[in-house]
Amino acid sequence: MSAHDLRDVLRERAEAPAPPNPHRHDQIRSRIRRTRLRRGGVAGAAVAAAVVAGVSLIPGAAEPPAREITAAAEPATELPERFTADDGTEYRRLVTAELAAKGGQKTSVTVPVSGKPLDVAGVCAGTFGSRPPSISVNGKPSARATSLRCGKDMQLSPLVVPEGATEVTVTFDTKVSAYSCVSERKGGPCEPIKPRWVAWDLAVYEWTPPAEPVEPDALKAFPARLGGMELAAKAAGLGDEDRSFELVVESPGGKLGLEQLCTGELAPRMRFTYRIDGKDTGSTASCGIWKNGPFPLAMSEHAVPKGERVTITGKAALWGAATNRPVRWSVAAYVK
Amino acid sequence: MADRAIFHDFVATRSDRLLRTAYLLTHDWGVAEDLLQESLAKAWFAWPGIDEPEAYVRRVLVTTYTSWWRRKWRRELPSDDLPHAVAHDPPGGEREELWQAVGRLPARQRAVVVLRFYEDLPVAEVAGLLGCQEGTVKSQCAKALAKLRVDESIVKELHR
Repeated sequence: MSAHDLRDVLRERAEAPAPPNPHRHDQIRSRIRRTRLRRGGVAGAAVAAAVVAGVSLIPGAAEPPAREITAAAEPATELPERFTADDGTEYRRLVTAELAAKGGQKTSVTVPVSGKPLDVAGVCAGTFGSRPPSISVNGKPSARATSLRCGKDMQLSPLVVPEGATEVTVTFDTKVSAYSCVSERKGGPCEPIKPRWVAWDLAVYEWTPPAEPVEPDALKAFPARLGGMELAAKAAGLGDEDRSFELVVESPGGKLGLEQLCTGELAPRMRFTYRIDGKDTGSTASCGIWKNGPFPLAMSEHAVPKGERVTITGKAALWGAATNRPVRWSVAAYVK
Repeated sequence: MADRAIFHDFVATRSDRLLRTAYLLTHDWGVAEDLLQESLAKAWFAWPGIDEPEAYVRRVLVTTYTSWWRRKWRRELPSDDLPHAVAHDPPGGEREELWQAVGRLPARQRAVVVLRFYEDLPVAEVAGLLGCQEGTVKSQCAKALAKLRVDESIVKELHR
């Protein structure tokens, strides 16, 4: 080996295509902001505590309602101006907002509606289980939207807007929580869960559906046995529209379990409702995403007549829009 | 003195080149991006007092990299000893072996190799970047080249 070879190898490697990063500016700004906060020390913390909520808009978007800005705040730079989802869908940030790490925070933003689907995004500095804000559109709870979950990675949730709206006001509120209460014992009092307040960086994005439907990955097969029960029937589908299915099973021990698996970028937005012999189970199930490791067991169990055939009718549906972003789903009935 | 107004332009125009240097140091595009951003963020705070932004950021990049390595944040497993030479070409060939060998160099030696043979910086400048004596740069470079089994033809370059 010669020095010439060494130079060649270094140049060859360095000139290889570098992964593009359209969010570099945002990410650097975010680092600067974090460093500034760290350097700010106690004084900085006091200033931060005084910031109740802040709102910022990208150029060209609608002006925020001035009444909601209680203090100047750094833009929520954790959330990129633009990004591309794994399925190629392009997201563009319309507006950002922040909530401070204490209870009873509320902020509103006005978002122009172009007709493209909207998503709410959030990142928080806390841990899973920290209380997320409730989301409402034009003052009404966004009932169809799944709630955000606190985590280091950006979480996205669909935002359903009224038909024909040209702009909507989205309110993020930690006074109202998706969490309620827990009972220590059966029949005991339901005590409110002690909230863990964290700061949230929030944004509303609009996304442009892919030109062609994006084919989701194939699903892994359900295990033949799960939770001590045997696989008795299954149904599957692919699409971005509501779909019904029917399973007929017989349970020798009178126990029935239902499981769901999905693939596709919007898999976390799938929801399933069931009726057993015509009777609503009263619950809505979400989808397991099984890429590797053990099966993500989240089986719902139901008592059914022993040794009798029961008919399970179900409906698979997606929260929010999913144009050209279909989800592949499968449901399974286990019996014991 | 650099105006903060041009920081954005600097990131847009020079970060690609700096990212490639970071990649040669880290051997991982993800860590390289992390290193680049960390260096640029650090530089932002010193920006108004910087005369030569690119040289300054490169210096921060190298010193940040060596400090990461010292703290072993990046879970690197460097080795002072390269495996014995094999009697046949490895699957990737000699160039691949050389690249892997560069990746096994201790951080400071790797930095010297990248600055001398990719950035083509003279010894004095490398010493300035690393904050050490020129003699240290020469000895680190010689040790690195010995490990890389680069032939003697390069010796004269060490003193350039």
